[in-house]
Amino acid sequence: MRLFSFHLMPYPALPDDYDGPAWITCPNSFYDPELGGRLYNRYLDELILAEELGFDGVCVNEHHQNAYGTMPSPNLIASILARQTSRVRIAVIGNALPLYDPPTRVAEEFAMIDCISGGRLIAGLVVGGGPEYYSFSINPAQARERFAEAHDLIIRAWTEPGPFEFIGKHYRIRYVNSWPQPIQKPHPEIWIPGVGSVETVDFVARHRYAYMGIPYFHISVFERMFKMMREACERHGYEADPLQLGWLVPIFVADTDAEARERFEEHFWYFVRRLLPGISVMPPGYTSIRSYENILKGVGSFAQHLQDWDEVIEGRYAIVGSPATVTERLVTEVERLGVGNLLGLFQLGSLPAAETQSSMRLFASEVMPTLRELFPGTERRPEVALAAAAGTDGEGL
Amino acid sequence: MSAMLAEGSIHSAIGEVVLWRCEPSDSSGLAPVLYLHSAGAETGPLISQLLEALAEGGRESVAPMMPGFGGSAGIEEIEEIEDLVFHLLDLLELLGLEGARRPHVVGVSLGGWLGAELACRYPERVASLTLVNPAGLYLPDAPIAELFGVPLEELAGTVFASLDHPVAQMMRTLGEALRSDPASVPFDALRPFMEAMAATAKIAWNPYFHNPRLPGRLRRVTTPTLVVAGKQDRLIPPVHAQAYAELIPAARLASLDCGHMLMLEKPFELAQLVLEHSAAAESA
Repeated sequence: MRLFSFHLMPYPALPDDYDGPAWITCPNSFYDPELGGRLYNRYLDELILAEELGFDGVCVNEHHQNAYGTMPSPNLIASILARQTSRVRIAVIGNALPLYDPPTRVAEEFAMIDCISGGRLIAGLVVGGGPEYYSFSINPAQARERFAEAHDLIIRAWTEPGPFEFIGKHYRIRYVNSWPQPIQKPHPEIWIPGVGSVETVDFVARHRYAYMGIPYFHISVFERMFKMMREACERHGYEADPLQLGWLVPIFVADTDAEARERFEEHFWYFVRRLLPGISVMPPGYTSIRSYENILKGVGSFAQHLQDWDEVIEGRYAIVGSPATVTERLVTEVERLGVGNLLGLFQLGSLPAAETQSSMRLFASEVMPTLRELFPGTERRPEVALAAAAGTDGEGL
Repeated sequence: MSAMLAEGSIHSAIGEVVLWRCEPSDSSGLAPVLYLHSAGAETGPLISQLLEALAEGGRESVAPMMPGFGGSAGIEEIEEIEDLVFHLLDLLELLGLEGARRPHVVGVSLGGWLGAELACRYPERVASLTLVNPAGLYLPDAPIAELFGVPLEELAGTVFASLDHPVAQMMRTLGEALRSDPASVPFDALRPFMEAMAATAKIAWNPYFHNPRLPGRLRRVTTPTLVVAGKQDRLIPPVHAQAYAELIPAARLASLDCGHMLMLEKPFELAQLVLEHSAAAESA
């Protein structure tokens, strides 16, 4: 299993008397640039610390015009990490492809990060959240089409000698000839996050990419998503590699269970009650009607509806406790979910630097060794990796 | 004897088209009304009062559902309003709405925009034009309010002057159920609305419910035109109707005491206006 430290870079200082959404229309007069500058540097320190502590990788992601995650350009952060770390994988999950026009921009910037980091990039490709379609006025009814077309363009830009012409429905480029090219061949490992839409899971399985379950749902939702993914891989003629599955979950470790709750709980609620509102906006046409129906069924288990702490713990919305408790719960869930990538959110909501770092250190010294022992192996199964590299859909394997 | 409202369908080049017809009990031989629906995808039964009142006045009406709305296929072929204009040309031929049956086009909201796009290109194909709370224009001082993603219970207050209207009540009930217990909402109750909004987004997400080139083209509308505004329209401010009336040569403006859903709020008054306007256009 591979262990990642994920950072959202949230804004922890929304005014106490503001109870509106953290997305789209959250007034940017709340943003204090001096504080913002200190936060970026602090959050970068927390990502860099992950390398010192022995994590396999760090993760950043892209969101716009919101207080939940202040990385409109995760590539800027990733390029700093490419210089300031030397060993960890740098997972950008991801670039919201429909927001880049032309999407060859993504091929270029990801290739830059891969080159600067010496081939350590994990390339996340995402559709972008519902709110982003309001913030960018990109047509949500074209989201899936644009994503699929941009994906094809980016993969071709990395794997086919240029120049070539790309004439699609949404993107038309007469000379595709991306400089630079990524170090990793045929291209960096690709991760795709999702909330369990049938179409996305099938796409990921077909291409032998890795599927990251989007968090803040009851653990049963992850269980269902990963089961869907394994079944989709089977349909495409191969057995899913655990390293094709990723579970993102908030983690906080302290000396005792009581102390962990005491130090973490208020920051968790800041996240849930102040930063999540508005995240689940779904503009029309953003998902198929069939997927929307499924999403509506699961919406009751979304973290925003949480009322009390017992639900948080029971539903595994966060793994919080002493090293023994956290180890036991992670081992149980990792086994049950069958995931090969654990993406821990160690900083969450308004959790201060000292708390974040002490939790990460305890995790590294007290929890990580057991996980390493029980779940060894950090490379994709060769036949799956090779077929992915060859671009086959697994027929005949 | 009262008029008969009936559902039908025809095949078009881009797929099956659902349509609603309402014929007068005595065939009058008058040219029919072509009703172009709004983003709400109101089907025949919802606008039966309007269509039946038109039939009482001797006007047959035909209300085809656009691709992606009310069960009509072909939304994959539609990317912008222009595509609907071409589809509409096909429909005029398929439905025989030509020559003596050249239609009186009544377009509501999104359908009003479509009617205007058709009439500025092919004014000779339209016997008369009635635009009801039409979308299509951008007025910087009076922007069209947000439609997409607005909770149903809130939307009811935007599009109806009074929440007493049964459709407004239904929207509120559904919206409140979605808010408090989404799993309890039968998806079939939502599906038509979800589909209509997805289809509308394809056409009207950006530019938001307008065509920047339309104002300069409206001078080409030589068809007799009536623009009808709901005075309490909070979705498309009534000054949009006024702007249309100023941009289209020889257009007339009428106002009714209601909101955006004028065709549901004032069906008999609208029918009366359409009957008078179409008769005047024919005698001119």
